[in-house]
Amino acid sequence: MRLLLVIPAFNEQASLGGLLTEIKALPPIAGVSIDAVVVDDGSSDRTQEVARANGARVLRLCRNLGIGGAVQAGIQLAHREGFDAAVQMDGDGQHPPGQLQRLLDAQGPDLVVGTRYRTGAGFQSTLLRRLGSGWLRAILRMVGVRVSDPTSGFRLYGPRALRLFSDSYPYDFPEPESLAMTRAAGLTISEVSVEMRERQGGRSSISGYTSVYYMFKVTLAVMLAYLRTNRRPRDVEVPDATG
Amino acid sequence: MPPDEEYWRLSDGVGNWVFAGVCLVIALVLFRLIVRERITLQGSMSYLAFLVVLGAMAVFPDATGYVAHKLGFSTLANFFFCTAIAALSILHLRSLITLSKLQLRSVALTQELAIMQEKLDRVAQPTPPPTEKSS
Repeated sequence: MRLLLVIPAFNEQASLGGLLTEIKALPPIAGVSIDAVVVDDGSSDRTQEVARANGARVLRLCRNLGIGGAVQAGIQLAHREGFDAAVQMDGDGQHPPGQLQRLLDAQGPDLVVGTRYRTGAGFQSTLLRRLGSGWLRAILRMVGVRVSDPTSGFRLYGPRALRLFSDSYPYDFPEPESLAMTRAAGLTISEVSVEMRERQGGRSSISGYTSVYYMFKVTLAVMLAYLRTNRRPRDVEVPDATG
Repeated sequence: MPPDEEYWRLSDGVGNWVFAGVCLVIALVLFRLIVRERITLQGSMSYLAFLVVLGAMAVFPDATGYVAHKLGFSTLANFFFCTAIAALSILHLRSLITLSKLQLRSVALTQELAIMQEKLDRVAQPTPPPTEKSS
């Protein structure tokens, strides 16, 4: 199986080197060949150079598209080059590469979400964020998605999900919205417990007033994504991955 | 039945002509921008139509008053403002649609460019020299 690690990064020079070193040090996984691509989302620091120096492929976006645009670029690459699956990992080091095996073990559904809340092990995020996650869980449940960590960016995309998101992927705060899209397109979602860490460097894009906007926007977006995808099934029709 | 005198309030004095002049100046500025290729004629057509309508309303207040009366407005000014607000809303919506399309296209192009660039970089990378086999 060919697996592409998609690492969106915006000004992550401090943490990226360590993350790529960990990826290189991963023990070989039987039957899996791993490739890593860093999607440099218009960084103004040395993110690109650090990625290249550590042997990763680099997609250099000439302007900042936000996390959604960066992830979609990686997904498009994976889809075009015929990768069997892609795993999204944050460039800030929150997602330990050592946990990759857990996602691969759960492979089968179209989208596998790594959740930090099931076992309670590892970094659990702040109280405010957990409350936000609770709200999003409730909203997603209304559209038929049951995941315990809707904001997790540590996920595995199967071939059908790659095809779906290669065409259309939300740009702003995409994780919960993409879950609704997946469900509405009739694809399968599962989750698996993973341990996460605190970010190893850089700053979160969601803080202060942004978090209020985030909750409002994502709530609306989840509803719209579900309605839109259900209303226009032809737009999101996902043929069999083998076809 | 002739409309109340209230309807014709704006037709007295030079206020209408001043407003028509303002519309004309804006239209000229628009034309200048089109000539200098800062904005496109295609994108400006609805704005120009809006200016023509407003200008015509200012130059022909009697006809405007008649229409306002038929539509049930009690003063010409109210009709004028309602028309302007509705037209501006439509223009704004149109701009929003255009802007959203451009934004989506811009994102797609940025991604495409990055993928192409990465391919080129890989092709341009010097291939390592072949290792000599010992005889």
